[in-house]
Amino acid sequence: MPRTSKAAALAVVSTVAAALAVLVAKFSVSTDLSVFLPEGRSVVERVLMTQLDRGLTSNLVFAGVTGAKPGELARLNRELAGRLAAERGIVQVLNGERALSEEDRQWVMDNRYHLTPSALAERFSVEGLVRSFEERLRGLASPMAPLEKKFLARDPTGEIVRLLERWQGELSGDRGPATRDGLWFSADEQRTLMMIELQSGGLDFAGQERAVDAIERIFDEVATPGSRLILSGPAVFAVETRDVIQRDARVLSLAAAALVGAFLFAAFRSVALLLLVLAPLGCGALVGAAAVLLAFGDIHGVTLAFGITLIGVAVDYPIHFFSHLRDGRGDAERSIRRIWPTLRLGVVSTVVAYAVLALSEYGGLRQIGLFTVVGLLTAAAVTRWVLPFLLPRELPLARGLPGVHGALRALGARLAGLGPWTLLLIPAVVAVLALGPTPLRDLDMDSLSAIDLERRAEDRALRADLGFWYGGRLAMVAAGSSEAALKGSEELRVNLDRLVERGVIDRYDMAAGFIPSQARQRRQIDAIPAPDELRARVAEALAESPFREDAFERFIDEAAAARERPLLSVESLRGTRMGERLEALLFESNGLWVAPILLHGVRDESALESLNRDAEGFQSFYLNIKAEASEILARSLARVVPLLGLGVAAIYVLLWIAYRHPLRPLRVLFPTFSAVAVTLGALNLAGVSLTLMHLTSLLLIVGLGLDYALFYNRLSDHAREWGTTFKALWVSSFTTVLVFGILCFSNTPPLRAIGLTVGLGAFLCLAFGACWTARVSLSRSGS
Amino acid sequence: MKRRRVPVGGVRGACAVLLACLPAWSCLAVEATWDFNRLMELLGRNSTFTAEFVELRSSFLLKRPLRLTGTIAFDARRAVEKVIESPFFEHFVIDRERVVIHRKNLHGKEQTVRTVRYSLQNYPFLSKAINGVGNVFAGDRELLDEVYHTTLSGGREAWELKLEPKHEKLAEFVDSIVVRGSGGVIEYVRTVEADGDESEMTLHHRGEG
Repeated sequence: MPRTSKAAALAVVSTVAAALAVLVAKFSVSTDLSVFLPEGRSVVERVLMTQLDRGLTSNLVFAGVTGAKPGELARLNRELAGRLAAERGIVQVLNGERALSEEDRQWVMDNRYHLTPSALAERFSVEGLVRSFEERLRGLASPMAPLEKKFLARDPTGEIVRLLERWQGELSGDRGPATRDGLWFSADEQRTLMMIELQSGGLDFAGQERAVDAIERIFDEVATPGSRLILSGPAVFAVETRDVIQRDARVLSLAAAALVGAFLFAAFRSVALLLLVLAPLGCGALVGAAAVLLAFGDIHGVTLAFGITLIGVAVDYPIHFFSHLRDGRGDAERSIRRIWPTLRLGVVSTVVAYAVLALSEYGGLRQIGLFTVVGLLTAAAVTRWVLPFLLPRELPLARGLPGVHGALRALGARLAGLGPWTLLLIPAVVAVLALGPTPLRDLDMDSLSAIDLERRAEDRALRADLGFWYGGRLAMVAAGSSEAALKGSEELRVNLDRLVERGVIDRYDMAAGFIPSQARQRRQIDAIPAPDELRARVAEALAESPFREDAFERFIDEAAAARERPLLSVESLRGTRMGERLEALLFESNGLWVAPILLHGVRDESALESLNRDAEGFQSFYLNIKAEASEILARSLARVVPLLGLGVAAIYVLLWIAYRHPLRPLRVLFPTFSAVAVTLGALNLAGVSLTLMHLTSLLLIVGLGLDYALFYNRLSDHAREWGTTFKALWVSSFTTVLVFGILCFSNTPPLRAIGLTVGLGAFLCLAFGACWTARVSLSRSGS
Repeated sequence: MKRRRVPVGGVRGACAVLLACLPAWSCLAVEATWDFNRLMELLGRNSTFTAEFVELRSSFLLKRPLRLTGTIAFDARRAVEKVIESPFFEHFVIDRERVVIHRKNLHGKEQTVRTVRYSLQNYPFLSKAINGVGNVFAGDRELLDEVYHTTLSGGREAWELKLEPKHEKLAEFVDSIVVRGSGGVIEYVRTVEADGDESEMTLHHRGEG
C-alpha cells in the first residue's frame, strides 16, 4: 500500500485516540434545555431565557398523597413530612403546618414597620389610629377575639397579622390550598398536598435524582395499602425524562441492532463487514463529541442524541465502499479510490448543509452543527483511510439478497427518467401545506417534552390545588442594583394594583412585597412619630373609645424601638431562610439585578403593555414565557431560512465546480428537495405539525438525499454500476428506514417524530434519486 | 269503575288526639327525672331559634364594658348567625368549619363591607371554644362531654349549666361558660376567657320556636 495512505491512516487513528482521551478526561453532559433557546435580543431577555421556568421552581417538588380517607391522608402527610425534613438534600417541607418557623415569625414581628405594605404616615395619624382602634374593638367583639388579643396591645394597626398572612401565604398565595387539620388538602379533600424544597436545583441533576428517589423510598416505607404518592415539578420531570429515554433507548437500540445486523448480514454475508459498517459512525461520534467538549466545555444530552442521528448518514459511507468490493483487502484500495470522488463530494455537500446549524443563534444548535461537521469529516476519513486496512484478507464473493436486488433494480430502472414529472409533486405539496387544516409548525416547547400529556395534566392539577403560580406570565424588572430593582418594582405597584382592581389580573407576587426598598423603609420609619408625639396622638384618638388610656403603652414602646432598628437589605438577608425564599424573586445575573413579578390569573394580556417601561434606574416589561419562547423560536427559525438558502447555493456552486456543468447539479438537488418536500406534505396531511425535532430530521434527509443522488449520478454515467452502486443505495436506504422506523415505536414524542420523518424521507430519497437517473441507463442496465 | 269509599275520618281524628297528647306526656316524663340528659334532649328538640340579644363585653383593655345589641339565630345546619346592630354593624356566621365575618364600615358617606374568613381547622382548640356554645344550643351531649366538664344546677324551669374545659390547650382560650335557661329555651350565656375577659349575653326569644 502507498506510504501516503499509511500516513493518513495513522493521522486519522491518532485523531480518534486523542478524541477518546479528551472524552475520558472532560466528558460532562449537561441537561439544561435553555441552551436550545436562542440568545435573546437584550441582556434582560437572555437573563430570562437562562432562568426561564427553571430559576423559579426547579428545586421545588410538588407532592400529593391520595387513595385513603382524609384522616389517614393527614397522618401520612405528617409522617412523610416529618421524615423528609430530616433527610439530607431536602431544605424544607411545606405542608401548611409550619409555613413559618418560630424564628421567622419573631423576625417578621420585630421588623414589621420596615416590612409592612401599609402607609405608616396614614396609620400613625390621629384619624388612622381612630380607625385602627375601632377595627380592634370590633375584633374584640368577634368570635376570633382570643386571636385578636394576641397582638392587640402591641400592634393595634394590625401590621403583624397582615405580614404573617402574607409571609405564610408566600409560596401558596392567599388563595392557597384548602386546609384540613392544619394541613394542605385539595378542595375535594381527595388528596393532601405538600411542597418539598430540594437543595439541588437547576443543573444539579444527580442531586435532584437522589432527592426524588429518597422521597419515593420514604413514602414506600410509610405508605398504607391503597395510598398513592403523586410527584411533579421540574426536578421530578427531569428524572422521569431520563428514565423514559433510557428505557426507550435500551429496548429500541437492541431491536434496531438486531434488525439492522440481520439485514446487513443478509446483504453482505460477512460478520466482519457488519461490524466495520459501524466503525466510521462510531469514530465520527467520538471525535465530534470531543470537538464540542473542547469548544463549549460540556456537551448537551440533546446534542449527543441529535448529533448521532444527523451523522447517521455516515453508515452509508462504508456501505458504498463494501458494495464495490470484489474480494478482500487486496481490492480495497482500488475500490475506495473508485468511489472516493463521489463520496467526498457527498460528504462536503452534507457538511455544507449542516454547517448552517453552526451559524444559528441557538447555543445548542451550534453544538449540533459542530458535532455533525466534525463527525462527518471523521467518518469519511475513517472510511477512506482506515477501513481498507481493517478488511479481512479474503472476502466471500457471495452477494446477498440477489432476489431483492433484482426486483429493486427492475423497479429502479422503470423509474429512471421520470425525474421531471416528480417536480409536479412540489405544487401539490405547497397546496397541501397552504390549504390543509394542520398548521405547518408547532413551536410550543411542550411538544418537545418527553413527559406525556396525562402527567403534565397531573402537574397542572397539583399546582392548581397548591395555588402555585403556573401561568408563565410575569413582569420583569431589571436594574443595576438590588435596591434599584426593588424601587422599580415599587413604582410598578400603583399600576399593578389598578390592574387587580380592574380585574385584569387576580393578584401578583413581587420581592418588594416582602422586602421593601431601603428608600421606602426610610420613608416609613420616618413617618413614625417620636414616643411623646405618638403618646399624644394615641390619647387623642382614644378620647371617645372604650379602650383604656394605657392599653397601648407597648405599642408606643415598640414603635419607638423600630425607629432605632437598622434598615433591612437583601444582602443582610443572605444565608437566612427568609433570604432563601426571596432568591427566586430577586437575583443577580450577569451583573444585572432581576426581579420577576409573578402575575396570577391574567385575563387580558393587551392591558399588561403598560408594564413595559424604560424608566430612570430600571427597565421593566411584561412577559408571557411560553409565547415569548415560541416567538423567539419562530424568529430564529425564520433567520435560519436565508441560511438554508445560502447552504443550497453553496452546494450548487460546489457541484457545478465538481461536474463542470451548470445543469448537472440539478440532478442532485431536485431529488433531494423533492424528498424533503414530499415528506413535509405527507406529515402535514397526516396531521403532524412540525416541531424542532421534525425540522432537524428534515436536515438529515437533506444529507441522505445528497448522498444518494450523487451516487445515482454515477449510474447515469456507468450502467454497470447498477450492480454495485445501486446495491449500496438500497442497502443504505433500507438500513436507515429500519433504524428510524423502530423509533416510531418510542414512547417519547421527540424520538417518534424523528423516526417517522427520517424513515419516510430515507425511502423517498431512494425513490426520487432513481427517478432522476438518465433513461439511457435503462437500455444498458441489462448488459 | 266505581271508587270504593273508605271511612277514614274516624282514624284521622284518633291520630290527631294522640299526637296532641304527645308533648304533654313528654313533659311529664321530663318532670319525672331532671338531669343533664333530659336538658340535652330538650335543647336538641328546640334547636332552631332566633333571638334578640344584649351583650356586655368586658376586657382588661377596656375602661368600660362594650354594650352590643343585635340578633342571634341558630339553624338546623347548626350554624350560629350573629348580627351586631349597635354600636357598629357586624355579621358573623360560625359553623363547624369556619367563621365568616362581614364587617360594615362607614368612611364618610361611603359604606364598605369587608368579608374575612377564618378556617377553624387551622385553630383546632379555638374552634372547640367557639363551638362550645353552639353545642349547648344543639343539645349535643357527646361533643360537649368530649371537651368540657359539665355541671347542671337548678330545676327544669330555671336551670344553669356550667362548662369547664377538660384540656389544658382549650383552657388557654376559655375559663368557663355558664348557660342559663328555662326548659328548652336558652336565656343567658356568660363566657369567661382565660385572661379574665368576659362576655355576658341575655337573649329575648321572638315568639316560641
